Amino acid sequence: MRGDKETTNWLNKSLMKQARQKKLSIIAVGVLSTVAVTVGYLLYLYRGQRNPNIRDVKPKSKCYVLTQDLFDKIENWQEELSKDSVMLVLPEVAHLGNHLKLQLSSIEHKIVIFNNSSAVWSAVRHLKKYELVISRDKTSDMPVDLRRYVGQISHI
Amino acid sequence: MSRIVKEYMGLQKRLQTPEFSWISFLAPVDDDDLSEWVCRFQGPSESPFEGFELGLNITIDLEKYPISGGPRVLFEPRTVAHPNVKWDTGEICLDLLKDAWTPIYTLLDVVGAIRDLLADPGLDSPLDLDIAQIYDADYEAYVQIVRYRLEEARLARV
Amino acid sequence: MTSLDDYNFELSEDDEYYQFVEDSDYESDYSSGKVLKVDESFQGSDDLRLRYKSLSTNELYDDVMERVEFVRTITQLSTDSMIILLRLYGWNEEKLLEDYTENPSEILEKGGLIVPEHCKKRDLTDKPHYTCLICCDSYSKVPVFRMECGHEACINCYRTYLTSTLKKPKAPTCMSCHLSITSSDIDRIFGNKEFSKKHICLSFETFINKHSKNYKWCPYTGCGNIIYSNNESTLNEMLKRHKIPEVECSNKHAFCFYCSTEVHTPSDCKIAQYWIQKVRDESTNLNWILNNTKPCPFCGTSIEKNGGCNHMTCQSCHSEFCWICDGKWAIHTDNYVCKFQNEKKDNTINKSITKRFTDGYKMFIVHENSSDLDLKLAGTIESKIFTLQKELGISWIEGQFLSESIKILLHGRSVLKWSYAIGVFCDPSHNLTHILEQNQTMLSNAVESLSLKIQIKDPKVLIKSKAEFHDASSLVNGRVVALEKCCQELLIKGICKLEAI
Repeated sequence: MRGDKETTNWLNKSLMKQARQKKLSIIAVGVLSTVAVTVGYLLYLYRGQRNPNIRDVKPKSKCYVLTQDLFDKIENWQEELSKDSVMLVLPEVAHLGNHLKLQLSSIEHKIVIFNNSSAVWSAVRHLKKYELVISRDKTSDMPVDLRRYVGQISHI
Repeated sequence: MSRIVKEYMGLQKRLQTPEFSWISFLAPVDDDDLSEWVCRFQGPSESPFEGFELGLNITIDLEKYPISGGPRVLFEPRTVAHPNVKWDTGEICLDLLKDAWTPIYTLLDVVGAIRDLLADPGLDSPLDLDIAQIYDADYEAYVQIVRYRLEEARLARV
Repeated sequence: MTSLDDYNFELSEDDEYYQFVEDSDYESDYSSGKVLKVDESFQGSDDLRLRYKSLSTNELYDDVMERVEFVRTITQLSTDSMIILLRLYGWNEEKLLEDYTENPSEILEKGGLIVPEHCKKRDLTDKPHYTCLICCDSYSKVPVFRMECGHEACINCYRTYLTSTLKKPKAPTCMSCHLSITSSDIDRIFGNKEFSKKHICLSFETFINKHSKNYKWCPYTGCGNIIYSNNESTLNEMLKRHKIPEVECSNKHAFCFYCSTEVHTPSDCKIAQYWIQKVRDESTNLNWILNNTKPCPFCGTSIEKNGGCNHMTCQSCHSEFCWICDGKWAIHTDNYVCKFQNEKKDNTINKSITKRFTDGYKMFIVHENSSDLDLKLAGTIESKIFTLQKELGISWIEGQFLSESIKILLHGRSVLKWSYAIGVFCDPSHNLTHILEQNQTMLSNAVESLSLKIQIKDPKVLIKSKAEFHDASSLVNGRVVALEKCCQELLIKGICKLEAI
């Protein structure tokens, strides 16, 4: 009940806090405007210096959900996984995962083979990579809330 | 106050005993200030953490320790994927660090309990729900995710 | 058969009101009587009152001790042990008794009450040349508390330790094992009885959680009073009839017993709870309106709203405008209907629930902020009364009309505010919904005009307007009643139905 008490405070106006608020708001306005100006200036500086290619230089992290389809479409996995990327192998294509692990022994830790497909989606949520790469036929199995955990979803 | 001083004085000697051979480092950041500590230790054997060295940042409220509160302990952020560890911050959910703390515990007990937690997660109070679900549904995948995260963190450090 | 004119008969002294009704487009609805039957049950529900009492923490302590004593007579344990077990069970007496009868020794073990046999009894004795194992301090002489388990520590450690365990729901234990420390031990260590009582009082959080049906904390910040009521049949009847189980603690804080929130008349508990949740989710999206400054719509000067009234006058260009719709105030003066509300009326029929929510939410927040500012004004009322006394020789009693008015103003705002929650869930095509909107507009008018009066600074003008204060206040009161009745009927007839947004 004490929890409720706090959350309902916004409704229950206490007389006491009113007096304080004005003083606080003056300070807050001061602090905020200083911060805003500083941030604005820094952004301005940053923009000025920024190399237009900077986005291309720092690769976006990717999370691949491996299916037969995706396996066939991408040729150079060594290249794809060399960046900040990870591969989640669906249970039905575990053999492909094992095959890739052998082939790409130097980066085999980036390949995670699953026995349970619901765990794959949990892993996508945990990993929070920028881009989720998934083949079109698997899209329907994907939980809807997944979109909130990745920056973009690419259907291949 | 004198309690932490006493722990500090006897610590290096105890660390050399075989019982604590798995701790590679445990010391204050600054010898004049016993409130900030760092620790490095080997992941427990027969767990996904075996073969990796893990880092802890420990903060002690010298006013409270040990009677009114234990140390505050965090893993190095973004290294440990574990049901009871918050990935982004390294926060640890361990009853000994919270309600179950009693003044008889020492820093070494705390580090030991954290190491035990790595090998044996408490699934009833997960901090990282996704990892807890993977652990529960697919242990082998859990092991691979943990090692992927540790490996990446190790590569980032080099 | 009763016509809707019944909504208004409290206002019979108010001519302006009747004129408005006659001029209104809804006149036919008022007189037709078809839609406007008043239910029997609705009329008879006014006498429902929740029986309750307000308790301080100390009074609750006595109540709880009585309950402990009662359970103790069943188990035949000591009071100390009983308190420890009840705290362990989060004050769930039934469950404890059930488990205890089944397996007493297991429960005693869980409670840390099984003392090792053939051991020295726990004691607090002075020890010379003692080094405490917990704090590692050495003393030439210090009292040491030792339990049957053999674990011991100096009195300073124990005092700090017990203070730090104050807030935990469970009773404290030995620092090294599960043996419980009893209230008598605590009294002995601190040398007085206050501390163990404090220990128990702080565990009331869990007690009240456990018995939340009958006990509620007063939700006002820092109050700490508790309301007790076991009048469940009345409570259920009130909920069924959309009545709010309003209670008041001994600090005169009124709140809804069922929701533990401010009194949300005329909204019923179901709608209020949904609304609060919804508003909480929404407040991050729509907090633009929370802002207390905005540029003058005519000259752009930033204007701060410093009272609850929505009639704004720009200090720079002297334009008068409405805070809600930014429109010229002149168009508002006769039977104040703001553009925003007009807009709302125009397309009520095909307005989706989401749109209705956004509009209702906006009005809710506007009036919530206004009542914030009115509260601020209320804070200055005492000094105003004082000025009246000093400068004009008015007696304190005579000055009370100001405090009275502000109370009525705040109540009016609250009713108005919560009526928007009702409005959102009403069938927009129904006649009674239109009548609700009329009533809202009229209460809004009355409230704004009272709010304006309260902002008067000059003491002479204030005292001269005393009669006007009285009129404005009774106008608000009357319209509050009318609006409340209208909302009640909407709820009872099911025209207002909670639906997901």
